[in-house]
Amino acid sequence: MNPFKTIWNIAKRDLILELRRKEVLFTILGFSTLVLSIFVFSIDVNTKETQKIVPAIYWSAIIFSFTIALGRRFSIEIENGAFEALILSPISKDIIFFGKFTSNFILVLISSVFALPITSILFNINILKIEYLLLAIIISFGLSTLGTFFAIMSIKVRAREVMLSLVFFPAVTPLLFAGVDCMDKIIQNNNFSDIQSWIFFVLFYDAIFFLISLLLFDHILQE
Amino acid sequence: MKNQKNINLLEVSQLYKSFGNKKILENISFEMGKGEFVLITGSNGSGKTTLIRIISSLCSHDEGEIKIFQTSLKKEFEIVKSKIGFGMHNSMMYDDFTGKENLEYSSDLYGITNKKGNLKNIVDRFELTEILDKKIKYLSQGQIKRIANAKAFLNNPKLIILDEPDSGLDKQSQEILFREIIEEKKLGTSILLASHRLEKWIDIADQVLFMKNSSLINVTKDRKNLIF
Repeated sequence: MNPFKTIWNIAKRDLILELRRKEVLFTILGFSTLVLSIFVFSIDVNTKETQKIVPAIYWSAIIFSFTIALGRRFSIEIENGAFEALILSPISKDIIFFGKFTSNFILVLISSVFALPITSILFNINILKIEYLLLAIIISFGLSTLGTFFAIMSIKVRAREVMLSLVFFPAVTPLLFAGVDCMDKIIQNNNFSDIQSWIFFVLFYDAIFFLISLLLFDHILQE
Repeated sequence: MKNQKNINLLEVSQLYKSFGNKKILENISFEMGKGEFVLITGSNGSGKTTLIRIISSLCSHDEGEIKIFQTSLKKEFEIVKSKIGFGMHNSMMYDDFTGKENLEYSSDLYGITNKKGNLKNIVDRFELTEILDKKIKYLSQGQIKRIANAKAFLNNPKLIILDEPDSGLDKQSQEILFREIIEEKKLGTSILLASHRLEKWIDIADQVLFMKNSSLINVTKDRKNLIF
């Protein structure tokens, strides 16, 4: 069996399922838009001070909405034991992880990119730049890695959504800091060299947690 | 040379399982040969489903050893999975996919080459044509069970593990399942089936494992020797 084909098969089925249910994407898009809109009504968007908190609002909206969506997404997996069918199929656990990660990555990336023009319009700032796209890609990668890992880890826990939030938020906090600071510097028209260290940090963080998740994934699937 | 029939396809020895202080399985041992039909029976809560889930590696055990296709469950289960068909208590299917989409997904995961032909064969055998294109969420429990049972036969397995495959089925669907299990048995496929409906399966069973209060109280091939 071609592993890449199997990974795509898992991710493709997840995305088709999502297109039919429209739960996860709508949750992320709806919730992030709502959070951004609430802030617009409560603060004066034309001051410099306000523009400094826009990155924090943007990334908080993405992370909170992704957490809600993750909980829902993996509830679907356990509803009729569909995830057990994956575990019982003759594919390695790594492939399952890659497949689930890929679909999560696509969903969170769509949401992060979709929220950029909304933020730009609502807060009257120009953030439609290639640097933001790069930032959205590498941070979405980290969010998907940790999200997939912790969501599957909490699958067998009774209070799974509480458990997911408890472990997911502390783990993604460094990514949140990096995202906020990078975005702030890009808004202030700083050079790429100013955010270079954060970019390397995020890449390193992504790589380390991707490897750890891959190594521990087999273990967390055991009871 | 060992007779093919005597080769142990499944060996369970001194298996123990507890959830907290509650003993679920206690000293379970049995063997299953190639082409055998083994029925695990007993009342609700006797530990049948837990035993099936442990053998399927969905649940860990505290003590004991399990060998499937003469390889250890803990070490090399990944290798032998492609030879096994699983039908668990729940459907293991996505509600928003049709029966056909669920079966196709399973075919992809098992790397079945002649996907269309194989699917048609299974659909014909289990008489699923009418319900195949409906989403799982619009089907009755019995119809879902029919597709879930068919899924266990999809990869032409050498061993089929079924947990309560007859629950929720109407008489006609039960007959189809019964007929297909007999057909598979004739082809030399081994079948491990858990059901509390002893009368339905006892005539074709090569071995009956009767469970009560977490233990195997009786392992027999003869209906007359069954102790309840």
